[in-house]
Amino acid sequence: MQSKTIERKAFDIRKHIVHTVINNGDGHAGPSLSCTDILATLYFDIMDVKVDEPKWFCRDRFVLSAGHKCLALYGTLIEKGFEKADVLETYNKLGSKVPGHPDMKKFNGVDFSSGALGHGLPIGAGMALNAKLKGEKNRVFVLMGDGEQGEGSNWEAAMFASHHGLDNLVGIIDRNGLQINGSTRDVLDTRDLREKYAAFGWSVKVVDGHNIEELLNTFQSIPFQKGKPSMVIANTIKSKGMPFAEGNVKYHHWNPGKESQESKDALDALERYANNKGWIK
Amino acid sequence: MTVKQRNPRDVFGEVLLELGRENESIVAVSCDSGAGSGMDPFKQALPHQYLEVGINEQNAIGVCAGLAEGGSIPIVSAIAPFISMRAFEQVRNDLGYTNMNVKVIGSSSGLSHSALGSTHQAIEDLSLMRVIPNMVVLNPGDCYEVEMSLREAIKHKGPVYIRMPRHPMAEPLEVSQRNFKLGKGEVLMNTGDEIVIAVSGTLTVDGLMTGKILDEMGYGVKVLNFTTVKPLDTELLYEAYKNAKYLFTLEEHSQIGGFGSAVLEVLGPVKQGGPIHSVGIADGSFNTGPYRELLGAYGLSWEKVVERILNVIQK
Repeated sequence: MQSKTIERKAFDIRKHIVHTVINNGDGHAGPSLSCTDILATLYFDIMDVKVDEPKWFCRDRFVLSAGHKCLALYGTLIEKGFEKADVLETYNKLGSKVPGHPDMKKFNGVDFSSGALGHGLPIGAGMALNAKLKGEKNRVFVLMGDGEQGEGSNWEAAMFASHHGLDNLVGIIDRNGLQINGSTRDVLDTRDLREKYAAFGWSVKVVDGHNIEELLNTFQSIPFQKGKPSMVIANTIKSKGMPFAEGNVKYHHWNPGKESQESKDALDALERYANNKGWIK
Repeated sequence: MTVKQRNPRDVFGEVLLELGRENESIVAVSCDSGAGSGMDPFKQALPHQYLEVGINEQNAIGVCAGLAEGGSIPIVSAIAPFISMRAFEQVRNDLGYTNMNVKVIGSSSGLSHSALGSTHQAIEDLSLMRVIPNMVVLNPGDCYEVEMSLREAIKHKGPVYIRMPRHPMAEPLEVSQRNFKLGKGEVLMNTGDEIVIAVSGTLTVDGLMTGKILDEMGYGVKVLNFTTVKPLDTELLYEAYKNAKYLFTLEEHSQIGGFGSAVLEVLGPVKQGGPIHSVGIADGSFNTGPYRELLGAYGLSWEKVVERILNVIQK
């Protein structure tokens, strides 16, 4: 798919995120908005999935290890056609199909439930190994946060994946540089993640996580090296698309209320962006 | 097959190999625990179905979840405290809530590593595993139960935790008299209703010995055996308890949260029946030594259990 079409999909996903939090209250807006362009690129170009057969055995799989970014995943899967948009109206309501962390039993297209950090890479490694054992060609994408790198289980899985030569496994770090208590540098400095993953036997690329063209080129060159798992470190901006909130840790959670100035600002920003792009709203 | 004083690890390994040959979806997963868990014959015979993960239990459970999502049936084994406690959140989230078809083997369970201290003993695993949604919890008390637990666990679609003791275990009954069913208990002895002993796991023979001694002393005794701790055979419990003067649970586990607690949860609201006493390891017990001696020190050997029961009923 053309990068401009993906860009438009990313915009539609951002609208779902912003509207859902404004209408239904508290949600992880900032982290969802930082990974939106990555998800749009994966689902609208890179990944092989079947909307009418969500559990298709040979599909590429996606594990949202940083499950709190689920509004981006819900928006993406809705735009892809796995579920209808009105399901988001149940967000934060009793019995919702869109809980605050994704549940594979509740939402078509969610490949694995997540929420507790540091779980996704081991699960993705298992999925990738399973494909190898069964002689399938499918790939597994695992999206993590940069703060999440503090979980030791990631490094267990990093060692495991390279030891078993899982070149059908792709890790993605949404490196927005912020976590709940501040910058990742201040809370627990991950230092050079490229060097770290390379030392663990991965082939690593660093990209601009909001540049669709660059994301496309990067994901199209997977595996970066035969016999090695691939890691994409995507430099991103938290709350991308809400200028007043970009790069501000305060918007990790956001609960603006329907009539607030922040809500108006967020909706205005979306409208301005669409106008600038010449998209008909 | 009658097995006398065999090592449960050997039986586990033999049965696992047989099942692996029949079903190529079965993957034996070792956390650097292959020899200790009895998986070596499997590794030699079916190397393409054997996965060595290394010393990383959290990752191991995640990997198993990923394998199971794609239709494999992982049987993952590690020393019981590490797989049930270090990886608890992975077991809960990635196997339990998601209902993944993974079999978790807590090897050298209970006080098996009696001399190695609290880090290597697992007397809290039943408590932790049975609270997890969808998790079936099996606590075999002899090699027949080890074999049947594994066979039934593979037939069951969903997560199962199996305690796997280390020491050779005696058979309380001829296997021809047994009829293992997942979720069902069995009556090992029945001479009356005065004292009911409900036992689970490695103390089955001690429970039966206790019952025989009390019977010889003139008490009417029932001895019930529960390999399945979850789901518990409530029907058998209700039936045995309604006329019981006393009920004692017996297990190689902390008194908090294990089999005894499970029985109390079921029988607590029942009006008929006498007091229920949970015989297990008292909270705060930290001791080491030879296995049988340690059981004695914790009041779990049949000699001590007889004493404990008499102390209660002769008051």
